[in-house]
Amino acid sequence: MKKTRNDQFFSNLEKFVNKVYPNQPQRQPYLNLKSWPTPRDEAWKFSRLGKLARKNILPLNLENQQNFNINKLIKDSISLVFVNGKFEKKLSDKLLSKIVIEEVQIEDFKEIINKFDNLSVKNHPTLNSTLSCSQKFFKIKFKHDSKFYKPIEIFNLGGTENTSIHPFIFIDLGKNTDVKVFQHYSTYAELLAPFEIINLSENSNLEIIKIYDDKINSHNLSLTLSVIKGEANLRSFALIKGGEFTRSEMHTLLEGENSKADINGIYLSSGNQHHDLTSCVYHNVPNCKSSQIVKGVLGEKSTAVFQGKVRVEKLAQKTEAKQMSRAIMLSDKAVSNSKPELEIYADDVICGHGATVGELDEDQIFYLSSRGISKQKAKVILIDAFLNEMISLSISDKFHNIIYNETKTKINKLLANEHE
Amino acid sequence: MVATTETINQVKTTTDKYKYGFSTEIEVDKAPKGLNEDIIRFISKKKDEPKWMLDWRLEAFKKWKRMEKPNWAKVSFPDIDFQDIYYYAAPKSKKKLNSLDEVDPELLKTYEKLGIPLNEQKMLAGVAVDAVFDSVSVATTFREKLSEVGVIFCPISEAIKNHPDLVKKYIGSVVPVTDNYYTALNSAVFTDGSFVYIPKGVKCPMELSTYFRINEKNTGQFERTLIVVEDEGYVSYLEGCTAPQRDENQLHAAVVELVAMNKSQIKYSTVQNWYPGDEQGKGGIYNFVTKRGKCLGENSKISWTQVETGSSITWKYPSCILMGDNSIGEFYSVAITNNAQQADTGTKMIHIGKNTKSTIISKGISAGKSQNTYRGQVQIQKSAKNARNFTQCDSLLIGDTCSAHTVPYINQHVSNAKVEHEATTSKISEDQLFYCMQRGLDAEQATSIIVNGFCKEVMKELPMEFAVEAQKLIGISLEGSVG
Repeated sequence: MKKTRNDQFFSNLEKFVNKVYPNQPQRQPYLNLKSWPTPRDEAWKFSRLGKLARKNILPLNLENQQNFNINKLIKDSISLVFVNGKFEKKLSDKLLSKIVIEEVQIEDFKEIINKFDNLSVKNHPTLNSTLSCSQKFFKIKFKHDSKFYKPIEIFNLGGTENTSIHPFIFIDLGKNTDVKVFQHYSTYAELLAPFEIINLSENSNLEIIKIYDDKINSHNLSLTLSVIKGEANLRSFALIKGGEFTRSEMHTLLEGENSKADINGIYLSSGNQHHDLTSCVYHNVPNCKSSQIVKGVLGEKSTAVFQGKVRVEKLAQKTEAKQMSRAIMLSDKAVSNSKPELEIYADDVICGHGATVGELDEDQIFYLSSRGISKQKAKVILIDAFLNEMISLSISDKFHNIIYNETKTKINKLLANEHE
Repeated sequence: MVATTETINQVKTTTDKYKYGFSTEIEVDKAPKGLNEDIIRFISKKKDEPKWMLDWRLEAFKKWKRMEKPNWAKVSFPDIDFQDIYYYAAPKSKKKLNSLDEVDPELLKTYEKLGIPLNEQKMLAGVAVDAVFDSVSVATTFREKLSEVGVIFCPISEAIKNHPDLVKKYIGSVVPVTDNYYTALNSAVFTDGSFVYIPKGVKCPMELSTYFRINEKNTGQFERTLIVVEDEGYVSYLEGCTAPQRDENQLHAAVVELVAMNKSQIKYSTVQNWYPGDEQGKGGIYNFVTKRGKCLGENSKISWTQVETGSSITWKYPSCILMGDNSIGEFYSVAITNNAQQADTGTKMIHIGKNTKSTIISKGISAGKSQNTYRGQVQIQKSAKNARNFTQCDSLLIGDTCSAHTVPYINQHVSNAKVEHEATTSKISEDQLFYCMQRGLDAEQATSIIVNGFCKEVMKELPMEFAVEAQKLIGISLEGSVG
């Protein structure tokens, strides 16, 4: 159990950091990780990194020469483009005066990381690798008392075979600010380790939609730490459909009273894909609400994981927390694992969780078939309904159709493959 | 030997706090402290065991030495020194016993206080009691009546001698020796337990019952129970525990194995009321138990019902392996923790056969400074077409210093199976309390009634004899948690 296998990637990482940043001792503490987490680590029990561990990957340190087509989902959005983890001003839209992008140092956000006194965060490979080798740490600051009507679209692009890229983005909302963010992960990297920190000041609102659509053989180990102050509201939605192995891990700390966090998501898995939605919500103060609702459709030989956790501290009376995971399996070769966990130290709380896994309801398919709808079409209708409910629950109406369309192509592909 | 006035007085003074907190003064024959091959040989010799059994024990011991203690459960306790435990203690038997009259009267008195209907009440209750005192079965009743229909119900040490083929075939077949640290330990040093064999087509005419009781100070009790039910058989087995008040922690690492063949049914009910330790958590039993049933045959059914109120630490996951097609596994549990108790309990349902079904109903109640965790796994394997599972685990919190955790694992490997899981956590509502108190109940009675209501889905699964006792237990366990 105590035996640690030194992994090629981590020794590459160490060499890289010592060569590229010889005079930055603040990076050293994050080089203590020697190997990938194993299935013995509770947090990684269902998401195995064995295949990734056998790959020889080097952190990428390239100046970007390429030109990218930026396909914005929303016409009037403001795009911010990060290539190989670096902010590209040339490719991005002009910034509004109330948005500031600045470079920060580890010391500037270390305090926030320390709030997550949790081993699975401290030993997370993304946290360690990104803080040790990311070229630049970016902070996007949204100034206080401003409402942004135009959504922000953040694009994570770049990467090549056998390389890893390590974007770091710190999203900081001032008081009384209202922002909507779309985040795209569409890279070619073998390993993408995006580390994000979200800080919501009092009475601010953030709606963040993450679309994971990396190229088919990439590994995405996304880690997001959010801290939410009083009366603030985080609405997070993850749509996972790409990559060979995608894990969206979010840790959310409710620090101020009357704050709220919705950490929802959808995964659509096909082929040999492995998709993982892991979320922990920590209720540290009274009168907060949270929800973690995840739905997924699994086809072919795909595997999916939902790990949810709600921790309610002794002080956090009057907490309302709910957790729900529903999976539809289209194939016998697919595997679904869920672990909805509650850890409760306060008595005056309402916490509930539920999980269901099953196939599409035969009776419903029969009902539709009896009305002249083909079986194939009936399945599409039922899955659409299943996902639509989730989408309208999780994101604002404005973006409903956009996200719906994003799921559509994948669902059609999933069903087509099932019928071959 | 007769009960001394001292003993009686001691009982009187302690009953208020813990009804069963007394110890019986009986001469005890025990092995020296510690664990090594010699102790195992000693136990085996004492039991007059055949060589294959000794070899099995030594093999288990060898494996145990290489294993590590599990540390994933949400419980914390000081490290156990396995060399500081007596592994064998038996009331001195002078001769073979033919009837109850020959049993040490002090022993019988102890049972009376515990409310076991062993003597004249045995007819009334219609229960065959295989009473285990410390580690040796001293009296087995109703055996004749059972043997008429071919049912074997005896201490496992006897079964090893008289039915070696059956024991050899099934022991360790459900819970492998190396399943975990404590099963390996148990396999090496188990001293006694029960063996039940129901032949083909026999419905056991009565409910079988064993009362376990830890008596000797510092004795780990390592029970081993094996129940085998052949085709179309049926048995309902009752297990209940109480233990005397002691200052030092006592270890209980039992293994229970159930095997159900075609169309057979096993109902296993437990009321666990070991000494939970005092308010500060001093003393109390460590209850590290591995219970598992295997539905080997088609259309078989295993049902676990448990009411866990005692022990300072409970670590227990009665599980079902549903191998036969159409087999059914059930788990009904009430776990109550108060003061400094810690419980990490739940179940595993492993679906292998087609059309297998399982139901899990778990109710956790925490009060005082206690910690109550439900940990369960539902695994649907590739072959388990059309499997169904329904899980409901609810937690109730009384007071703001206790905690309740739920850790379910759901692994599904086949599409046309259906797994549903529901859980809630809440406290007793002020309205309910107010309503009851308005009708003249005090806060404690009201709490007891509400908790009993909260648990009723589980309580109704208990056999009559247990249901009454269990209801009382809930009240006793929650004493001092409100107001």
